[in-house]
Amino acid sequence: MAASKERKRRYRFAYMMLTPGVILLIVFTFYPVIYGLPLAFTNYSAVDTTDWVGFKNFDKAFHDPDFWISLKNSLLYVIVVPVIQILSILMAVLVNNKLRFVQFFRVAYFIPVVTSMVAAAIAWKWVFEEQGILNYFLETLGVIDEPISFMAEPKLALYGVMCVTIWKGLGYYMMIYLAGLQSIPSELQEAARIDGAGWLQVIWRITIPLLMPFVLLCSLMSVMGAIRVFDEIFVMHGPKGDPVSSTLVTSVYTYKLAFQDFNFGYSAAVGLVVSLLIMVLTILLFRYTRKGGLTYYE
Amino acid sequence: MERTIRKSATILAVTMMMSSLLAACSGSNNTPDNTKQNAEATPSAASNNTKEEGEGSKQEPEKKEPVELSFWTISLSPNFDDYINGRIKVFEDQNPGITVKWTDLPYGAMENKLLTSIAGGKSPDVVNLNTGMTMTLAGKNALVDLNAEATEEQRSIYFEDLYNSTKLGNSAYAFPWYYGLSVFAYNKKIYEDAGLDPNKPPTTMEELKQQAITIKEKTGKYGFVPSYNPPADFYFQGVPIISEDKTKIIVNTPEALAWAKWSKELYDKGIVPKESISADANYATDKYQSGQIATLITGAQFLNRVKTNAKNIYDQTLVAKMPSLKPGGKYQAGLMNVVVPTMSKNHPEAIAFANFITNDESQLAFAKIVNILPSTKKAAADPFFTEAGTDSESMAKVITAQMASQAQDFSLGIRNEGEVLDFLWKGWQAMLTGKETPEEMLKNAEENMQKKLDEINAEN
Repeated sequence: MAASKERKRRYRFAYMMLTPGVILLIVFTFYPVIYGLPLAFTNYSAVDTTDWVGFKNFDKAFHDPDFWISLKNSLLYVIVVPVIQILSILMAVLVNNKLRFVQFFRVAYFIPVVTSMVAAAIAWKWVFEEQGILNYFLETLGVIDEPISFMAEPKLALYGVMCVTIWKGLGYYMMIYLAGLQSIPSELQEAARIDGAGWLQVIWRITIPLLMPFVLLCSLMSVMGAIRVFDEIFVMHGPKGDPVSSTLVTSVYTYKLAFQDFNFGYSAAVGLVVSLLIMVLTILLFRYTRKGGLTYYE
Repeated sequence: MERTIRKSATILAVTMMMSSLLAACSGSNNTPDNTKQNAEATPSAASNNTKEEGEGSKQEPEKKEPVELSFWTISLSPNFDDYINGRIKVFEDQNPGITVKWTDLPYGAMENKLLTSIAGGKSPDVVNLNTGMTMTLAGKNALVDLNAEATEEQRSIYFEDLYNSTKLGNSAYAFPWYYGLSVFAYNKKIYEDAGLDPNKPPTTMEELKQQAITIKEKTGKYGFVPSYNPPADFYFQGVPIISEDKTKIIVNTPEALAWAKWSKELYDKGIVPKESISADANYATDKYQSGQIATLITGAQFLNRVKTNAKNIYDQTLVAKMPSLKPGGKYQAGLMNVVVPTMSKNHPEAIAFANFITNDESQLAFAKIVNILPSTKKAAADPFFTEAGTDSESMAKVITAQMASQAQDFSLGIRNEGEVLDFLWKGWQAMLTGKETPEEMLKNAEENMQKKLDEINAEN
């Protein structure tokens, strides 16, 4: 009886502590998300008359070339995920060693994470310009004769932005992987080494399988981040995804539809389709990365 | 326990969904009603005003209850605090019972903030917008039609071309305020280094092209950065873009083709930077003030930025009239307007203030503290605009004032014009990057624009 009372008291305390967070989530996340659902079936523009239009917005989206371009670019953007994950695992393995100045490297790798994305994107814009640092180096090294316009060439523009996302994300995921690495008992790796495994083999056979829960978490966050990428594209290439819509991704397109064209209804419909896409990708990720981790092998 | 939580969560989710559905439906009822109510109520208030009021700013609105007008401007604070507050004080003194609360917003924040305010039912009364934003909001029935609600006296003080910039059908949605015309600023030293005579700036775009080729060859620097605005550029080249009755798109013309080919050649030969394809106004100014580009086509009011950021470049700067696209043609005026949202509860007072802040006296006083041109006839005729000093900014003032009679802000005069013009913008980039030939670009743009125009006309 006393134990049950104590349990109730603990539950009450736990719910009390959870309430402020839940209220904030309801007000600023759940309510806008749920409110956005019916908007997708209207022609809401905030200032003009609003009518129920059924599935017209979805029909419009499927016949809208810009929607398909943005979707294609968003999916293409997901290629940053493996690059970020592999590089950040390697970085985490490196800074997990007992090296001199390792603390300095950890901090240095983490600096991009705390840098403002707007400031970083502006700086990267200068790097990629025709008269920018990258062209200067490539010309000095004799790699190119004429400067390449990374910002204005439609085939390169999106990859330029990906570099910014990768640069900015590496430190963040490295920290998560570092925490993961430090939770792996060193005996396992030592045993593998005694059995004759090389450095790469230890990483491939021992470290990565045991890191899988972290890989799942990081990949999930990274995929969602890639599909929703906005800041760097908006700052570097504007709300139209210049040049020639080559950097137009779904989040930038929904922003343009809502806040430039005032087509909130249509924008909500596009947003809804993208949310479904993220959901599908998340399910796929869960399905293919659920193996691994310490408990899995126990 | 778990079941109870699950049940509660489901009920909460369903309630939220239902409330949002209801909110969306009620939104559809409220918005038109409000709009209609205002539209119906205001003409009578305005017409009463018209009969009983005297002239322009000295009018005393009939209403006796105190009225607080909310006035929003774009990027005028803190530089012009004294000027704006001074004009507000004069208006308040002339109109007892009316107070004006001024809010200044950054350029990029205005559209969103205004939209959310209108959607939230707390609209400002008088708002400063550029022509593009004005047309977008006018197309959504969010602005007061000044042809219906302002007096003839209030409307007659402006240059007709500028007043008509925000015309949709028989309605006009803004009082034009100040505007800037571009001048041609150039770096004397780079001209000399390239063996060009600094006293002979280009007078046509073709001359500018030839000089740019020489500058690139001799100094390795770019001659200029084109600030592409395909719809306006085509229009000022003599391409009609749209028929008089607003039903037919006319873009695929020999003039348009010549301009497209001319621009493509510049781009392909590397005479202008590739980044000019999507460069904003800051790009060219940044490059000019860092000495990387020989010339700068910019609004006279922005020369001040070069002066502040790069005094050495400013000291080397000479200014001349903009090289013309077409001999005797018109020039694009980057116009700022003042509008009254339909949701304002004080139409007559708001219109009176909008007219006051843009009248001859207010604009002339404004032009004396910053390099802008007034949109009213009397203010523009003031001798101030013919008195030249020796510095670049003062010379720019006189040069732009001479061009004022040829100024016009380009607009199609249709609802959702941005959606129609978008095809031209995209086509232009596709052409420059080689995805389409100039001929294909014009043909495709015309077809797509016509299709969109037909859709818009059918909806209205």
